[in-house]
Amino acid sequence: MTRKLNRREFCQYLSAAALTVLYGLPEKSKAQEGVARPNRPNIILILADNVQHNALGCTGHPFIQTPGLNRLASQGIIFTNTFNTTSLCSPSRASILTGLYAHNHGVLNNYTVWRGGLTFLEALKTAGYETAFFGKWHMPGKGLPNLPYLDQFVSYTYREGQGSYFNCPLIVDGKDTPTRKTCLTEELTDYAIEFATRQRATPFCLYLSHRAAHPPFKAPRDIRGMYAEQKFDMPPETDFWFSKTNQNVFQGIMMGSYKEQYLKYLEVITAMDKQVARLLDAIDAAGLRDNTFIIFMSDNGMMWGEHRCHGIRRYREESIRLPCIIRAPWLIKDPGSHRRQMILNIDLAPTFLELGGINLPQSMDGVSILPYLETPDLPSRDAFLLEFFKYFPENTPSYVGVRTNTHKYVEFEKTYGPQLYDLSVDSKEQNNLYGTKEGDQLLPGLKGRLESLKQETGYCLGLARKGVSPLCLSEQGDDTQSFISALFARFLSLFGGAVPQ
Amino acid sequence: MKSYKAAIILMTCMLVSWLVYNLAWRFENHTLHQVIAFIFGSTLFLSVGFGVFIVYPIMFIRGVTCRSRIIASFLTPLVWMIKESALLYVSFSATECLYYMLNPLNVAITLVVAGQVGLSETVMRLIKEKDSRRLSCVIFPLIVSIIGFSSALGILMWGQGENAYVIFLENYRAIFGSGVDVR
Repeated sequence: MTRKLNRREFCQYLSAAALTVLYGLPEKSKAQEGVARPNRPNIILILADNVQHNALGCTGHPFIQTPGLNRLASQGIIFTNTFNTTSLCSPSRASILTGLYAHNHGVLNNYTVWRGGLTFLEALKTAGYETAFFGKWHMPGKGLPNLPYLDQFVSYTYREGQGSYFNCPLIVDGKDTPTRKTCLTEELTDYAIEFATRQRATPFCLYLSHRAAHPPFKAPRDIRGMYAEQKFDMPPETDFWFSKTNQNVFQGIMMGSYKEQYLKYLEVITAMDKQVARLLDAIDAAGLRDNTFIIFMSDNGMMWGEHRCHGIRRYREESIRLPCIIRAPWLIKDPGSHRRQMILNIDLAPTFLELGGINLPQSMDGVSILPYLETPDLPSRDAFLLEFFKYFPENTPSYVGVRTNTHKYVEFEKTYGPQLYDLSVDSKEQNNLYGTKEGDQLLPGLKGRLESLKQETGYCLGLARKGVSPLCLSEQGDDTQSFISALFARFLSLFGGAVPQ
Repeated sequence: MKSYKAAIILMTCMLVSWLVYNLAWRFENHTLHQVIAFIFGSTLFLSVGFGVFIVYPIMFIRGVTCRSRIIASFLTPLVWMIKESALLYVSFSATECLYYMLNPLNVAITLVVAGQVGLSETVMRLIKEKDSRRLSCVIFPLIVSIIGFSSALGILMWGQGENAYVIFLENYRAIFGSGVDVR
């Protein structure tokens, strides 16, 4: 027997039909090989430390062996334009947790104490997720914080929270706990596998934060020396003594030649990759593959002699650009491909919240990147604010700048003049256009963009709230200081390294 | 000043080496860059780290007083440390630059220099003194030498130098906070 539809029902059916025509069926049509969209997927974030964007096999490194991450990339996608907003461990990690710029979450450098605030882990816990954090926490403050929204919290405070690759004393849920394995990366992966494959009725969010590849580099015995026979060239700016001069000794790379240190760096990445592969195997074996969102990322990039610089904290591409691989079978229709949208570390928290079906708080600076997974050519942001706050004793002044799809403009607190690069023709940032005719033409637009980004993200407001003077070049320092700084800049431009570090 | 001639030559050698080393990368010829950087990097390293082994014996032979010999031995490393600290003014305040003088590398270098002074004094006394007095006259400089070298080694080996560095940073935070004027 048929029933007549009333007007409301008719409208509802009509709307549903229209939406279906416009967007397609939400479930099956968006799936990869028939993978159904899970209601609330599991989330795994694997965060590496200081891994250069191109230091993986799948991102173009000529000889490093990373079969685990290569597999992840072949089953998912690589975001080739991923950046951090502050190139330093703690601020970047706080940005990942909160979805905020450093001037808004308040962790300006590795010393400024984290005062808390909404993290994606807390939001997901509130929404019914089981949550866990394993590894390097490294948020400034005394010891580890009490985070009731974590169901499991395994970390360490050893050596300023940096830990050690072997025999690292662990703190498990607030208690000093003997290590079960000598290798930290392996032990953390054990914890992660135990947590992820546990029987449960609710979805989980797992944040696995590796020490690799933070110096001093020390890989397990079976990996040590595996690249010793490789023939390759370090950047031409470097030399035999590079790792022992100009403060580089404090980067944990003093022993041996610079090239040897770089090979050790690659070894610890390979060691970490081995553990990533083990985790992926466990996830797949447990039948969690089709309802688990996995993202691999690094907190910072790393400079290995480019521009005669070593380490992080610079505005250079090598320092701010990150590797980012995502596997989400129900979202990605073209596994093994690349995405060119500009995404940031502050986008992770909003993405996880959207996965968990949580409304994004207005206060978050980042945006969800899920639409880019489904739609390869979807337009994204065209610029972001790049900021850094001085961090003793790393010899880089505070700076703020803007990085667009094609240009970069940076202003320093003291000593150095502004830097302006056209990345579309000068991807290695060799030619500072500031003060040139071409630069003069570009400057108003970039300065305007910088100012608008400052306003949009509450740059001045955020800093003022934290008692920090926003960086305004023309108003910084007294005349004497400016004069001495200018002298230093001239001197350094001749002898210390040609360009701002 | 005449008695400090060897020390001044060593210091000049260090400064020239530093300047040339940091200029070398500007050579477009890669091989030339590498050769010059290696030579002058080596002389820079040797002059700061082991120059005492040249300066001290020369001054000893010339009969310069012990006090002057010690001052001369510390001159080059001290100038190098001051230079390194001054360069930090690029990013930090003068007081922070001053604190930087206490970094573990500087402490280790100071101890190595003390060790070298002790060892040089020991060797020179052994050469100079007659057999009967040999042992008794070298005990004190030998102890200084052993303490200097072993302490420096201890700092560098303790967690590959990382632990001493952590203490240095903890003290910085105790004095300067985060360094970014957060109130």
